[in-house]
Amino acid sequence: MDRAARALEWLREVGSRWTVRDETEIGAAGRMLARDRLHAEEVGAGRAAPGFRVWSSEPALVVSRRESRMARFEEARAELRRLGWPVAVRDSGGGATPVTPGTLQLSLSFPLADPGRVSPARVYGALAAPVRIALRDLGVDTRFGRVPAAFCDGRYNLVTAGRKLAGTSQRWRGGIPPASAPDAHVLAHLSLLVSPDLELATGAVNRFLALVEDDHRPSDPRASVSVLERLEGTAAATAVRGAELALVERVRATVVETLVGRLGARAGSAGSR
Amino acid sequence: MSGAEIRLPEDLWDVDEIPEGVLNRWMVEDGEAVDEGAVVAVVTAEKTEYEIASPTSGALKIRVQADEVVTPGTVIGEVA
Repeated sequence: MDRAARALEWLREVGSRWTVRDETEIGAAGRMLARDRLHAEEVGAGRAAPGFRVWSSEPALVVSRRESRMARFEEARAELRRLGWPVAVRDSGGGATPVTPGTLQLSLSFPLADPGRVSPARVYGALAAPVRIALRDLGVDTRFGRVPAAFCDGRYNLVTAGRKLAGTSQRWRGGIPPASAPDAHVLAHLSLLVSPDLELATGAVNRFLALVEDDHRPSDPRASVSVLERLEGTAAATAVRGAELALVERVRATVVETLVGRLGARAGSAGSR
Repeated sequence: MSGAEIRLPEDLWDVDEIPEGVLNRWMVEDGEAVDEGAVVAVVTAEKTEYEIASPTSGALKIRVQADEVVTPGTVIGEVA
């Protein structure tokens, strides 16, 4: 059994009933993140089954709470909005991340009932597993790793050919049992670069960070790569040429199929295009 | 009277993979009253943010300041 498959098997140890919600609406990032937060709270409280949400959003810069508390945040937010990149705040960690209809977001929520079974590495492994399997189906192999010149770098990026393909982050909310609220839970995020314009996206990150940080070192758009670029020259890329969002749909569908088939997740969808 | 320690779990993350974290922020002021189970601090390590809750009710005494380095097992404060 490969690592991605083992990671999904670990989720079966965490819980026996999983869901995957395919949010077909491409909404504003703030609204989509609010839905993530609400779903995670419902999961923590036992009012919803643990599971995944799969979604895309209108262009936005998604920043961490830490960044939202920086002294020049409001000024930076106004400037990025003027440039066409509204800023939304997420709960999970990390740094500024661009989202567009060409990126695919995955969130994972489950109750933190038995912290001895849970580690950040295992969460990242499970979160990334359906994406890694979907990408492998397209002929794109991935591993976890850092890419220092990429935006929002971290140990648990998904990397292909030395470039960042997806970023991950998580938040353990409500404390860690036994010192916790009764609804403690984990909320994890993954953002996959399927077909965004990486020059524009990285430029938005750099502009924001230059405004809020005194010593920001610009990220290099070439340190990231999209699935579309990675497939360049293949039949899969040719099939979606001129309709880059079709690749997002293809990856999204395979991610959902993987969660249903390999995790036994119950599928649901919401919204309409 | 000694208080209850607010200690990061020893197995919170694998230090071989992630050598250290940072106490991101305190949600409560030093000396302020806290309730058992209330989130009092956020610790960040490798893009994971951990909300740390008080183990008991009482007055918070901060031992580790915001932006200081922490590792699993660090006592970040106590509640008496």
